[in-house]
Amino acid sequence: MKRFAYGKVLYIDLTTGEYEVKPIEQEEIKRYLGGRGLNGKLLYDLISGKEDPLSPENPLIFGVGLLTGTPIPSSSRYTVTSLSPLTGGFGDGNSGGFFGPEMRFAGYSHIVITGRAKKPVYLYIEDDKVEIKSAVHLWGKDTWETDALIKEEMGDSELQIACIGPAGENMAKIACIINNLTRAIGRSGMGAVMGSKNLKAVAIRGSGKVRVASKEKVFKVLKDFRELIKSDMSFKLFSKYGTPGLVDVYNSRGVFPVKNFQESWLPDAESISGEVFIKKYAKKAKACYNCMVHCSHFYELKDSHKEEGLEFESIGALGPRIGITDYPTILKANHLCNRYGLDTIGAGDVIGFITEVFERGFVSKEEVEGLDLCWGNSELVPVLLKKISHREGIGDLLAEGSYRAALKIGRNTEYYAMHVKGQAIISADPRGLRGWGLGYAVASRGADHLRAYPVVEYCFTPEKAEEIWGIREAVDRTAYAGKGKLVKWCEDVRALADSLGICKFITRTAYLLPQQLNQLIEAITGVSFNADELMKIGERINNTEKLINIRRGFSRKDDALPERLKKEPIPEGPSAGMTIDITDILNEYYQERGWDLKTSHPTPQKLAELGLK
Amino acid sequence: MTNKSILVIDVEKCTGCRLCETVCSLDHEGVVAPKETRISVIKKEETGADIPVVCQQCERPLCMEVCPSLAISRDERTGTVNIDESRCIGCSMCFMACPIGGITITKEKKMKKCDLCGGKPLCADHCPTKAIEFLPVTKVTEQKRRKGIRKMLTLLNY
Repeated sequence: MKRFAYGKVLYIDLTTGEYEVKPIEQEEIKRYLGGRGLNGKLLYDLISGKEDPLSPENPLIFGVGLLTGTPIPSSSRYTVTSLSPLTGGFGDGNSGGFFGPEMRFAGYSHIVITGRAKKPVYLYIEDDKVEIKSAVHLWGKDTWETDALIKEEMGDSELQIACIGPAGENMAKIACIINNLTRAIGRSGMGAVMGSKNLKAVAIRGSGKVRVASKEKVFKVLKDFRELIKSDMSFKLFSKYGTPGLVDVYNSRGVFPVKNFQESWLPDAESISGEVFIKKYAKKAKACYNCMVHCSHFYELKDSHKEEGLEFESIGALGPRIGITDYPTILKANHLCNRYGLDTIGAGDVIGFITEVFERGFVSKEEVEGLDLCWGNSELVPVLLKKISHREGIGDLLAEGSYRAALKIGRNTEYYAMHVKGQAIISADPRGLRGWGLGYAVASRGADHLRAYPVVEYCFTPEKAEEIWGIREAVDRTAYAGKGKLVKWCEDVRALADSLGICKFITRTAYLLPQQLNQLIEAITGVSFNADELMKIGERINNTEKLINIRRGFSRKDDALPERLKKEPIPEGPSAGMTIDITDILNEYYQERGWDLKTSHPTPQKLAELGLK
Repeated sequence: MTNKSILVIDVEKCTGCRLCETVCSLDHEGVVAPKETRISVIKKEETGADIPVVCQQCERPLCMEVCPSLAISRDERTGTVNIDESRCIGCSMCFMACPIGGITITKEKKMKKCDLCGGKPLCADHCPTKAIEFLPVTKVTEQKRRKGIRKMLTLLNY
């Protein structure tokens, strides 16, 4: 068998300070590819399922994809996986920038961190050199200060650093890990797990080489790629506006949540459009490693700050979700989230939640410290973000995320927590996007759009839908038919991108199909998979994550959208009147997956077919 | 001599993706080796600066002047400054003399530098935003001036 030049794992126990390097079995790479896929497999093998997510026993796993750091376009991604303190089940986050490639250059596919350091530490890794260094002087610093101080003390401006801010230190369950100042392992509270280990940062530098199977094939891929993206719709949108261009995409369909999902449409979203962002704030386009899409920008808000950004989800969560429709407030909040190390989606969601339950009288003015909680209170947003990150006063409650905060408050406030499995729903309202709704409900890490990322629901033609799933309605966003098939297919394809370490923005529509992904794999590794084999790998990855959730006690009842979305129709706009009830499409999805309709557990036949126990 | 071209870099267009580094090392070394690449994008994340740094093929190359083993020479036909690896003694004087960091020192302490890929530089060829272009010297001056006065022209409404 041809060997993959990939699979060197660094295991570090922060309790003892000991570490060792072990390879991953070659056969496992064929079964899981790498990145998210192998992270899940490693986690599955390392835990019993009884571990508290914030205990030393819970492993924190950094993994780069099979193609991360190679010449394949957009091969910047790495995934951090652990049991999530936010969902209580399987959790991970995925980020771009330059940390992942550097980890690859240092020679590692994965870093598995267990234990808890007695005092704050950071990891310094330079090729084979591994050091656990004191971070006592860094504790309390924000992510930008931490990044600068580590570079200064190591005398190396080219270090790649993934670190936590105060939010992670204080184990806010919506804390993220930040690399390259503004790129985030955003979801599932991975920053809190890092904080629980007293681990402030991972700083890495590599001088290794990444081999390719065929230089000619790689240059052909680069050439084909340039041709393909010329006509690709995702490229056209993102290369110019970045994800802020999505404000119009979702608002024009009336699926852009406002005031904690009370509404889902802004009659005029001009003030927070991609167009305005580009004209007024963006200075130039920015890109992650080897990326031609350059969806990011360097922007400046006069008299405030400048940084790389901005993302659609941050606009949605820190904007309309909390009644804000001006860029200055959103940009300031975004910047604070980056520095505190807070997930912008989780932060906006919990602020929206507390504002609504306060407004409806479920909590008293005293319980919210007398704060003037109301929609669109620009002055209050930075105050709340600081409180959440430091768990001060009401911030201690909000740091739990909306679902857990609701459980603590009681009084049936869970109805207003817009979550699945404890993870906040993003700013695309599932009431008007059936496939997305099902995707949120079944995603292994809780309400999440990137597991299925079913953009095909609104950009494939009915003919294409018939060809792949045999149902034309699968691509009608208002129809239910075929959504189980569509979501299953999308989840399996997306798992491949995550495991290869390439960005979903090139696999969104351009390099979407498994046979296309194989061209990339083959050029780099020399190993070729057929489409069925790849889809099977995607399926195995999703089932492995499912098995972790089963160990944690999850069942069909957890694959559910908030009741509110079934009961309250979208009041106004292009999707007015729509609600979502996923009961039937969930059945269809389980059938497609080979999962039991009652329990949602994979059937023994399915597990045997995938070679899982 | 008549068709001399140079690498012209527009830092405002550079997104910092480092694809130039990738194709440079892939073509020259056959692997992705960021520490051996002949072009590097120097980044400053706080300010958003992304600056590709590469040999400028000087007319009076300091690297060539200081080389004690006469390993560096200029190809008058193409204008490239080249290192003859068989003569290089690995002293790194060229590296120190170059004012812009145009010389790369590898792990094995070998000196490497841009050779313009024999006349069709891949960094320019692959740059997604044309931040790096390979242009004849007879055309670049006006082009640069045009870019320079772009703001003024906008202000004057021309």
